[in-house]
Amino acid sequence: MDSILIISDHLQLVTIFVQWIQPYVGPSELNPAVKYCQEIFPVLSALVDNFSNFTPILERVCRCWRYMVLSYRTAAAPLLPSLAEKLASGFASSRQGCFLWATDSIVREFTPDAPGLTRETTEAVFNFFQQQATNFLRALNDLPPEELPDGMCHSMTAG
Amino acid sequence: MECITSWIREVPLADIINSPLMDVVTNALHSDSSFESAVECFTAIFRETRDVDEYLEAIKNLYPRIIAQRSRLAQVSEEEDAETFKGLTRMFAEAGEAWVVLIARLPNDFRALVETILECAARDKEKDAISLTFNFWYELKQYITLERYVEARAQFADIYSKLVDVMVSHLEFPRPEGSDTSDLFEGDRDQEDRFREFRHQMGDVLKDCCEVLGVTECLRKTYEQIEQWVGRNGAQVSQGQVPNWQQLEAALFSLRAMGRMVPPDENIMLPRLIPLIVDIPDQEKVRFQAVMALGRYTEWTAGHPETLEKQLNFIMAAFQHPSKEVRTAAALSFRFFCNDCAELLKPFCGQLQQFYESVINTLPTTSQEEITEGLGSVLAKLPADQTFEAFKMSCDPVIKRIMEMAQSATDESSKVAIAGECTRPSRWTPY
Repeated sequence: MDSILIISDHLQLVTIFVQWIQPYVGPSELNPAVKYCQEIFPVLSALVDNFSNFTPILERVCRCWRYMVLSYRTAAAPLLPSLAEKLASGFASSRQGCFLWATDSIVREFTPDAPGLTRETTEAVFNFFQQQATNFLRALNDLPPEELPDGMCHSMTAG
Repeated sequence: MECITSWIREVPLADIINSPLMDVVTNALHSDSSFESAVECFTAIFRETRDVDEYLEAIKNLYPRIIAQRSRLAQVSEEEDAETFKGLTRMFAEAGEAWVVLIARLPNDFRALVETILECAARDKEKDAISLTFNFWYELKQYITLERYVEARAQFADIYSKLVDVMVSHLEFPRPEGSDTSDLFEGDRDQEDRFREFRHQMGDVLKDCCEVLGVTECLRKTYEQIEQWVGRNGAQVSQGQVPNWQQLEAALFSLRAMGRMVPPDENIMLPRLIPLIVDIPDQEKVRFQAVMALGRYTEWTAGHPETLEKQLNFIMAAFQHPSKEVRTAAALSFRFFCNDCAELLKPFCGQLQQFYESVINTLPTTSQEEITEGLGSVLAKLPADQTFEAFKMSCDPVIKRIMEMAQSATDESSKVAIAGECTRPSRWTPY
């Protein structure tokens, strides 16, 4: 369908902006690019909710989220609570590997030794990861391994 | 002939070359039935003589034998005997490649061979044989650009200069003779593909020429070709009619091909060339090449801000061109301009955003991504206190279209059938 293709293509454009726009701000200030990402977050979440059977859209949304974390690193912390929730519920309902792939970026960036992180954040990341890992292992029981390649990678690198 | 060729690997080469067999091989070049295998035999011998110090005597014997064949080139090319022309070209080029060190050491003694290979390239109207000479020009360039062969470089400068002219003339698109001038290859798609591939190989030879002659000299030749075209044809240009456009397009292609060799501080020819290009008349292939050529010199433009505005206007106007090729070229060039001149374009963010929004939906996906890369790279240069507004202004329209499309997808009944209850329109309330 045309509209599905246009949505997928436009999501790529949003990701390109996220990849480029990385302003320099001090560690205590809110990164203005993250502020904008927070603003558009509900749209991306709604896409995941409404198009849960459309892998191209799920993959592109997850790719966009992944780059939000890769571009802004720990400055993306304000996004974390809602992002973690969507990645968990998205994987639980769709069992698409792309949610684990985006999860992986968070686990990598928000390691306990990353500078400027509060203990609460690292704990939240650990709990989130634990939840995703549990979901993943449950899913693994139900699905043949070839359908979970990202999951395998994820569990090997992060676990 | 084949028997002699096979002996070359077993019998000491000097024994063959000093025997009456060598006359047999040379004479075999004059008979249609043995020509191919005689060429094969000669090239096998040349390869054996690559260690030029060891085989100097053999080379002295062989050299006059092959140079004597040079006089046949004119006749064979007149008769359009493509196979013989190709065989001779191959023989000369293989000799040149095998003896390239010697040519660099003794440029006077071997000048006739280098001239002969140039003649092969120049006379090859069908472009069947010329590619056989490409490697020779590369190998010779590799040697004569070394400090120790500086004399050979000076000696061969005129030949490389003529080589630029030969290459640019071969770069020209064909001139169809029939009434249908729109199909340049008369329906032969294979030939068209070959031509495109071949142009890029010739572009590499032009880069070799740049290394030998210096970039400014090569750019000067392009400049003169464009000037010459303007002098001869400029007055006859009318709306949509550009006489002899092939010549102009070839000059622009050569400029684009040489781009990688030109340093950002070239201050002699580019300041004269760039203003010529932005005034180039509108013909689809010429416009495409002009847009691509400007996109190749964006690093240079970053250091010459006074030329930026005209170039960018030219590129932005090309987004309205009826030809899809021109529009996609414009998107690619736009990206390079934004990436390389981001600091200069920073104050014009607002205009760029408006422009982006006005063209984004007219472009194919790849071009959409390219202009987004371009705009993104300019936005990235803004101070942090302007980032939020600029990000929002550029990205909100994209997000808005995503929401509209999501709405229309949920409205489509087929979508409902495929995706089931998840897609009820009532759930599309992101904010």
